[in-house]
Order: sequence, then structure tokens, then C-alpha cells
Amino acid sequence: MRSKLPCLIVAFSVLLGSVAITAILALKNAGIPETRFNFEPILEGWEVKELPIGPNEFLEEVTEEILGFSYCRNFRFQRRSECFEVFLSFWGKGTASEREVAGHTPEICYTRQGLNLDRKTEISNRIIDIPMWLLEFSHRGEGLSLVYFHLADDRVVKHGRSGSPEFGGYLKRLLSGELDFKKRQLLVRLTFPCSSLPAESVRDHPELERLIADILTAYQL
Amino acid sequence: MRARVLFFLTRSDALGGAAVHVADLSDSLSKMGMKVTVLIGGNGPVRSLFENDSVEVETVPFLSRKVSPAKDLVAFLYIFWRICREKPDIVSSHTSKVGMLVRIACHLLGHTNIYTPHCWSFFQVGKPSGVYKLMEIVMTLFSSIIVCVSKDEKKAIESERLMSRARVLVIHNGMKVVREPKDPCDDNELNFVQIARFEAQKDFDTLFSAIDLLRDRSFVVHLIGEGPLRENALQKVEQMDLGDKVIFYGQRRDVEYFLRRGRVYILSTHWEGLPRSIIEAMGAGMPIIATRVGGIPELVSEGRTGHLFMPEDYQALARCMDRFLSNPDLILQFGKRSRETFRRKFAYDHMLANYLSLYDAILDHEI
Repeated sequence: MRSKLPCLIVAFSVLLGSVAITAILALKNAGIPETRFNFEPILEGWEVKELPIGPNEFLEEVTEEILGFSYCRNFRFQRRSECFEVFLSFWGKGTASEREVAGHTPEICYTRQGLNLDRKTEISNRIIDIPMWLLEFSHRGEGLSLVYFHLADDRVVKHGRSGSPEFGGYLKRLLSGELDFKKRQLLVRLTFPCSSLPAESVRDHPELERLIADILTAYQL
Repeated sequence: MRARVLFFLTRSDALGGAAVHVADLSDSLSKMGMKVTVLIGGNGPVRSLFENDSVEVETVPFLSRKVSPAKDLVAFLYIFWRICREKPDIVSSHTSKVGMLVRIACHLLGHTNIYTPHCWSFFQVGKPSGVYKLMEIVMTLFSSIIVCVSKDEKKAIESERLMSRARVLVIHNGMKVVREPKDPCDDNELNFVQIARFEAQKDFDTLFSAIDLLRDRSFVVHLIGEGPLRENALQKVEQMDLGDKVIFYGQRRDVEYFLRRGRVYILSTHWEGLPRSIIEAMGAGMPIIATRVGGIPELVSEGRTGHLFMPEDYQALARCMDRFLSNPDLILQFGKRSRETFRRKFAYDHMLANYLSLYDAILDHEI
């Protein structure tokens, strides 16, 4: 036991140090003033329906707790045979790290649910000045396309992230600033359940443009 | 993909609710094809709960309930190494001591963890609650998801400022056993049953004082359970001359027999999370008399499925018992409602479905 004492002392010091750093960071994050976000969709000529964020009450609670967002809405827009759905979630300053939110992007969540990501393309729009991602999935012979973007403050986060437990992971995240919750973040996902309105429409569909612009305006405020 | 699940449990010497909970869940998950390993402190009787051969049960060296910095550090390093080596999909720790070590290890490794306290340590009477509360609050910083077994538990930790980011869910305990409701009993002697360990948590003094107040009535209280305070309880009953009213059975595996024969279930206690013994009694169609602590009011609806009394209020407990003694028709009426509540909210399948949803959500998201 005596020969192992120095190792135990080092391990204990590392442990104590990480507890102290985590506590300091948490206190720092808790002290960041709350940021608010609100969005009420208005799209002339379209019927807007608010959808629940989970299939039942418990799953809604699970989704809310796991995503840990400050604000989340799920809308379905319908006009004759055209339809699309918008899932938007917002994290105020001090609530989540960039890494955490990047872990909830569709390329992570959908693939974890068993879908194959066949293609990921950056698409831009004539008016909206941010790049978005067009993801094309397949599952059991069926295709699914969607568009999403993730903003951290005013910067576009380009990649969803995945990670598994690793030795030194904490230190790595600490040094790379991933434990820093200073940024407010917005994650917007558009899905297109009706074939008459494909995901590529985001490039030049005037009403989709207007809706995304409205969301961005609400985010900037 | 075959999901890998690691469960952690602090102690193996006491067959408590947390151990049964882990045994039930690990059994179900392994039957669904998941690879389940249970890591536990010591080599006590809890190991006998894991009868399913496909569930691996292993010991965490030096892990025990007692605080010992050197031993706890070794236990921590072992836990850290196991998680790092196995890279499990789900890490779930139960009870506070191992919960602490696992959460720190997961935090350092950047791994999601689920922690189920099964009753906060600061709820426990006789412990320095301020220190324990502070410890639990600090530990929430290392928690990915906390699963409380009652709304009362969730409320107690959510009110703290540091908890603003913590993810706290409520999944009520559920019991596997589903018995047919019992037939009306025609015997004149009414049987009360309490299944509880003889430990500081359970309030036997209040129960004996209440029985003493009703000594002229015809009834028997059957006490099933073991524990370090059993001798004290025996002595107390002798001193109070309640030998004809109280029967001690010790640890029994045929609990079902007592629930089938018993008419009313009693739980006199100082603190609780969401007691499984009450849920089991509800499943057996018994009305409940219990102390109003922890999640018990979420189980027992006052005046509908049973009666509640304030901690240590033996006169109130005696009044609750007297209501059933004076009006035995209530037993059947309350018992039916009790069983209905069990079916709707506390059946095992309900709890399992909620846990599976949670595991799915964790596997689907990077948190």
C-alpha cells in the first residue's frame, strides 16, 4: 500500500482539482444573465399547427430534459399539397456548451436511430446569409431529406459531433473551451414530409426564405 | 447493435428497494438482448437477487457504504478504469455513495451517466442534512441525468440554484408482481402487515405506541424483515407487553403469502423515496396506512386507497388503524382502488417502458 501512496495522492489531487474546476465553471455559468427567445410564426396563406415535441407526456419530458434547451417549438405548415415542419430549439447563454448542442444535430441523432446518412451538402440561399446543411438519409429502402443549421452566437457551427468516453476527455474539453457556456445557440431543423415540396426548395422558396429570416430576426433580438 | 449497460450499486449486504430495482431492470434488459453488468460493493446477499445467468455480477473492490478516503479512491479508480475500458452505452448508478464515484468518473471521461438516488441522503433523519444536501447539490454538476423515484425527490433538488442545468426526470418505481385481488376475508381477527428492515429508517416506536393505544381491540400486526435493530424491537414489544399483538417473522422469501393473507398494509417510517413494499401491497389489493413522508403521498390517496399520518404521530396512526378495525367494509373498497392505482401507474411494465424510452433517448442523442 505504501508504495502506491504517491499514485493515490496524485489521483486524489486530480480528482479534487476537477471537482473544483467543474464547480467554478458551473458557478460562472449560473451567473450569466438569462437570454430570452420567442418566435410566433406568421406565414400568409399557410395553415400553422403546433406539434408536440414528443409522442407522449413522458417522452416530451425526456426530450426536454435531455436536450436541455431554454425554448423549443415544433410547427407544421400546410398549404394545399405542400407541407413542411420546423423544429426550433434555443439555448440561452449559460445553459449549454457548443459541443452539447452539436451532439443533438440530425446527423448524430438520426444515425443513432439507425438511419444511414447518404449525403451531406452545404446549401445556401439567395437571401439568407448563412450556410445550411442538406442531409439525405435512407432507411429500409426509404429516403428522408432535411435541412438544418446550428448557430452559436452569430457563427454557424459546421459539424455535429460524436464522442465516446476517453481518458483525458475532460482535460481536452476544458482546454478547447467546450465547457464554456457563454454562447447562446439556435438549432433549426426543417423536414419535408410532402413530396410536392422537396428539401432542396430551401434554396429558392420565397415563403421558406421569409420564415427562416423571421426566425433569425427573432434570434438576433 | 447489442447495447452494453453498466449498473452500479453501493452495497450488497441489505436487500433493499434499490437492489430489487436494479435486479428487475437488469433481468429485463438482458432478456431483451442487452449486455448487462452489475458492479456492486461487497459479496452480500443482494447477489442472490441476480438469478439470470446472462447478467454479470461483479464486485467493486473496497466499495462500501462507510466513508474511507483511501478505499473510496481505490474504488473510484476501479470504476473509472471499467468505464474507460468497456465504453458502455448506458451507465446507471444507484444510491448515493457509488453514485458520487460513478458520476465523477463519467464526467472526467465525458460519458453520459444516469443517477438514481432512491431517496436523497439529506432526507435521512439523524444525518447532518445540510452537509449531505450541499454534497448532493455539488454532485449534480457531474450528473447527466438524475432519475428521481418521486416528484417529491425532484422538487427537493430542483429548488437549488446550482441545479438550473441539471436534467431531472421522475420515473416512479414499478413492481413486477401482479396478483389477483384477494377474496373478502371472513375471519374476525384483522391482520395488519408491515414488511420492512429493522433499521433506523423505519419507525417501529411509533407503530408499537399506536398498537398499545389499541390493545383492547382484536387484531395482529405481522412484521416481516431483518436488520440490526430487530433485537431492540423484540425487547420493546416485551416491555410493552404487546406479545399477543405483534408477531416477528424475520427475513422471508414468501412475502406473497403475507400479502395474500394480510388485510391492511402499514409502513411506519422516518424517510422514504417511493417504497416498493407499498407498491407491492397495492398490487395485492391492500389498503395502505403509512407515514406522510417522501413519495408516499404520490402512492396513497388519503381517504381513497388508504390513510396517511404525520411522522411519529402514534395517536394518528392508531386512529388510522381504528378506522379499518371499526369499519372492515372499507378494506375491500380501499383495496380495490389501491389495486387499480397500481395497475394504472405502478405496474412494472410501465416503469420499464419509461426506462427504455430514456435509454433510447440517450442512445439517440449525444449528451
